[in-house]
Amino acid sequence: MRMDRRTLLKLLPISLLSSYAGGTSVVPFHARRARARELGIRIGTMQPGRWNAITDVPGVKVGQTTLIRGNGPLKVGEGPVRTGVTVVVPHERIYDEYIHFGFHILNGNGEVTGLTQAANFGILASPICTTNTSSVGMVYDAMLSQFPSNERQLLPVVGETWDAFLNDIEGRHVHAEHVIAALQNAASGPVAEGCVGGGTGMICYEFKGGIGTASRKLPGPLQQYTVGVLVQANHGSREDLRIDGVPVGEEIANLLPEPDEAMYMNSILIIVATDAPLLNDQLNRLARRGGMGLSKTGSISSNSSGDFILAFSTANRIKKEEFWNGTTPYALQSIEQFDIQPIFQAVSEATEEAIINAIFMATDMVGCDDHRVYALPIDRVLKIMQKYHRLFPKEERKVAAL
Amino acid sequence: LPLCDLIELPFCKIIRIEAWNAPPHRYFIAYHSRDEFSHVLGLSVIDEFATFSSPIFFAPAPILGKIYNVGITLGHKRGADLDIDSGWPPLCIGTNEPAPELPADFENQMMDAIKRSSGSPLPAQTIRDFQVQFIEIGETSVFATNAPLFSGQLRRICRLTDTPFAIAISTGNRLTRQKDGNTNEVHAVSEAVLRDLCSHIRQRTL
Repeated sequence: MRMDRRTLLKLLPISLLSSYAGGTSVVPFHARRARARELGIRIGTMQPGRWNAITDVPGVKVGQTTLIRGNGPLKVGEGPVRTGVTVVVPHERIYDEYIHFGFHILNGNGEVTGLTQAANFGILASPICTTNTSSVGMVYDAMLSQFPSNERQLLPVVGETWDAFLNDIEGRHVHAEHVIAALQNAASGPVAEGCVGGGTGMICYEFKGGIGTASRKLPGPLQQYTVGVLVQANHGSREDLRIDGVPVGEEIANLLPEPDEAMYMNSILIIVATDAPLLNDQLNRLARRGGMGLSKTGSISSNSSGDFILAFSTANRIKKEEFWNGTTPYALQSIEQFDIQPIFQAVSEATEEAIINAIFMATDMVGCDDHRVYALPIDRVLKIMQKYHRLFPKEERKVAAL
Repeated sequence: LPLCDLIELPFCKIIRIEAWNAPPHRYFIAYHSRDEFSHVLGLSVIDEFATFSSPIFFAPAPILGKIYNVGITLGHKRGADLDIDSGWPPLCIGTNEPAPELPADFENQMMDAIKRSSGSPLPAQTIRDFQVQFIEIGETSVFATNAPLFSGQLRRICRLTDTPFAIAISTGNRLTRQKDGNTNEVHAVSEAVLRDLCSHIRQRTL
C-alpha cells in the first residue's frame, strides 16, 4: 500500500522516530542546576502553582526534542548541531475544539506563523511550536501534517529565535520526525528548562539561555485559575540583566560568549497560558503584559529583536463544527474587566521568573567553530543577591519552593 | 435586543442605543480607517477594550472638541467615576462639512435630545435571524447589528466598505459589571453566519 508522508508521520512510533533520527540525541539534556525560586530568589508577590510551570494550567502539556550532535568547525548540513523544537499543547483536543488566542508583537523582526489568522478569527487550533529561525518552514510543514485532512485548515503557530552562534542553523537539522517526537512526548508536570528543545542553542543576556517556565496561582475570587508562561529566551545585552531588580549584569562583566562578538540577533518568544475565561481581545491585553515581565529582567526589546508574546485561554472551547458552520450562536464565558488586574500581574511575574529560570537552568555550551557560551554563575549571583538584600531568609525558601 | 436610533440636530448627528442613563454596560465595537481619515476622538479605549458605552457623535471636524465636551458632561451625569461602561470616552467622528454656526445653547439642545430620546430608528434589514442597520454619515459607514459578534468579526465587517472610516457595533452581547470572578456569558455566530452577513452587507454597500 502506498502511504503518503502525512499518514506515515502519524503512524511512526516514537522509538522508531528516535532511531530514525540517526546519531542525533533526542533525549532531554539534564544538568546540575537549580531554579531561581529554589535558591531563595523570589520574583513578585504571587504564589506559583505546583510545578511553577506552564503545565500548572490544567490540560497544558509541553514536549521537546533536543538535538545536540558534533563538535568543531561549522560544516553546513553536518553540524555542529545545537537546536531542537518545543511544543506547547493547550489541550488534547485542540484540533477539534478551538480556544481563544491573542498576541502582541513588541518588536517584529521575527516570525510567528498563523498570526494573521489569529487576528482575523481570534482563535488557536493547534499546538504552538518554537524552534530556530531557519527551521520554521520544516516545523510548519510537519505541524500542517497533523491537522485533520479534507477540512478547512487553520494555520500552525510556529515561532523562532536565532541560534547561529552555536548551531549550524543553515543546515536545518530540525525535521518532521523531531516535531512529531516532541508532540508525542508532550506531558504535564515539570518542564525541562535551559538547553532543551527550541531553546537548545539560545543565548540570553550573553549567558546561556533557552527554555524557561513559571506560573502563578490567581488570588481571591479568581483562585481557581492559574497563569503559566513558557519562554524561549535568546535576548538581551549583559549589562542590562536584572534579577529581581538587582543589576546582576553590571556585576558580572566577564564570562561573555567566546569569541566576544556583538550579537544583535536577539529575540524572545513568550507563551502565556491560562484557564481563566478570557476572550481574544482580553488575551491581546494579557500578551502586552508579558512585555512588562520581559522589561523587568532588563530588556528594552532591541531594534533587531523578534519579541512575540502569545496568549491563550483554555476555558472556552469552541467545537470546530460550531465555529465554522453553527446555525445558532455559541456561548462563551468572559471575566469582567474589573477582575482582570491580578491576571495582568500574574503574567508579568511569571514571564519575569520564566526568563530567569531559563538562564538559571541552562548550562555551558560549546558549539559551531568552538564558540562557547557560559552558564550564569549561580554562586556569584547568590552573593550579589545577598549584597542587595534580595535573597530570602532560609525559613522562607521552603514556602517559595512549594 | 436593542437597535440604534439616529438623532439629527442642525450641527450634529447622534447614534444612540439606549437611554442615556442606563445602568453601566458595554457593547462590542470595531473600526477601520483608511486613507488619511483621522478626525476621531475616543479610539484608544476601543483599541484597548474593544467596547464602547457612549452615544456616537458625528459633527464637522472643527467643532468636534465642543461635541466631545458635551459627551463628557453626559458621562459625568451618568456616573461619577466616568468608567468605560458608563459613557467614557465619548466616541466623536468628524465630518468634512464646514464648521456650522453653533447656537449658544447647543449643549442643552444636545442633552435634551439625548435625554428625550428624540431620534428615529435606523432602517433595518433582516439577515438570517438578525437585524442589520447601515447608514453613511459624512465619510463614515456605520454598521449596527443585534447579531452577537466579537470585535474581530465586527472589524471584518468594517473592511467591507471603501469609505474612509467605518465602525461596526453589535448589541448582541451586553457586557455588564461582574464581581468576585463571576463571568459574563457572551455569544458569537459561526463563520458561516458571518459570511452570510458580510455577503449581504457587501451587496448593500456597493
